[in-house]
Amino acid sequence: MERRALWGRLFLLGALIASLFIANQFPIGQQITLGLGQLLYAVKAPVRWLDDASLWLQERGTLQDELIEARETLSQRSYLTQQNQSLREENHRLRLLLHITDTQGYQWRVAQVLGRSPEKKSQHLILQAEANRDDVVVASSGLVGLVDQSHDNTAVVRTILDGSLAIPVTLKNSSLAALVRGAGDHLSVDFVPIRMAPKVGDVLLTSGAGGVFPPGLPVASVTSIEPVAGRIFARVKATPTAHWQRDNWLAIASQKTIPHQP
Amino acid sequence: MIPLILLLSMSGWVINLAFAQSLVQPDWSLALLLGALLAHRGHWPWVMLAVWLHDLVLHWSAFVLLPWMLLAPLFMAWSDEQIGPGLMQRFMLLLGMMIPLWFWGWDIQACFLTMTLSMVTWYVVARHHEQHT
Repeated sequence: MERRALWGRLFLLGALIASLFIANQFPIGQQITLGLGQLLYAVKAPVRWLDDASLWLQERGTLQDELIEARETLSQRSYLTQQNQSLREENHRLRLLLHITDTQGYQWRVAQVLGRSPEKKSQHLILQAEANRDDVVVASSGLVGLVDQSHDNTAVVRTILDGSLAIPVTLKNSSLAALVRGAGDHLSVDFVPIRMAPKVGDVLLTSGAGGVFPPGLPVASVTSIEPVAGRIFARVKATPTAHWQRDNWLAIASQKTIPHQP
Repeated sequence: MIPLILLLSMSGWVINLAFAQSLVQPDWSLALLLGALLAHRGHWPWVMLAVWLHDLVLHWSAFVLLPWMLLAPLFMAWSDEQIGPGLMQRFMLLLGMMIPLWFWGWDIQACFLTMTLSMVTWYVVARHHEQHT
């Protein structure tokens, strides 16, 4: 009788472990996090009120200085925008001449950060934005990650520190083609031949291979390179160039849908 | 008491997600659930369910703290039988549960705060349990 009860318990334990494994295959956590989006916005309201109120307490002189600085930046930006437009037009004409597909086909918009996962380096983010799955998320200093799920003006993002993402990267003016993978608190760079190994401090950029990430975005700064005896690839570690742990605003890039040409 | 702890635990997820990186805070949810488990090991079924949700919401995986938490009631049952119910075993268990939290990238200060909140919850739940039995 006791033996039967023991087998029953073992069966229950096995069933529990199996159901946990199966449940782990579905994005249950991401869906719950999406549902918490509006609640996070409400919880952060006092912080926003405090930020607004702090403007009233700033000195007039400081505000005037900030206004002058903002005007200067605006005039510089308008010049850069004009230059960018003319370069884009020229680039478009050249691509048409060379029959090359437009790789600059991304729509950019900004998104506010509603929340972050609580580990030291935050592997996941919650954004307030309309987004689609696999949209690219970028900070001013580099690549942040990919949109994992989105619903009703809220998106959850898997950052590049998450082990499930692999980003094709290269070095500027080099033929290096490597992969950056998340390892929790740092990044590991795979397939770096010893003879082509970058130096410590070099910045790896997205290569654009695979078509998910736009080319030329800074991804990681190399922190250590170790040759491994008997192997052609070096063991390279890196740290993300983007600091999403503090940024309150990030940019989202969605791929423009290219109309089918007969 | 159980619905209140579960409600507070869910509020803990929201606070953890909203203010991560802007202030040092404990793992509110884990602290409350661990406190409830330490106060009475018979609480394990709903505590495990809540820890499973905690792992899914905060870490997007069911295998972060849950495997360790599953060991906790087993250890409590074993130690109660072998050594007898005592504070020291419970404290060791509480300390042991901070190791996976630290391993998964939480600050040492956050682990300390979690432990402190857990002790307070343990005291409150144990007292409540005592008054009702």
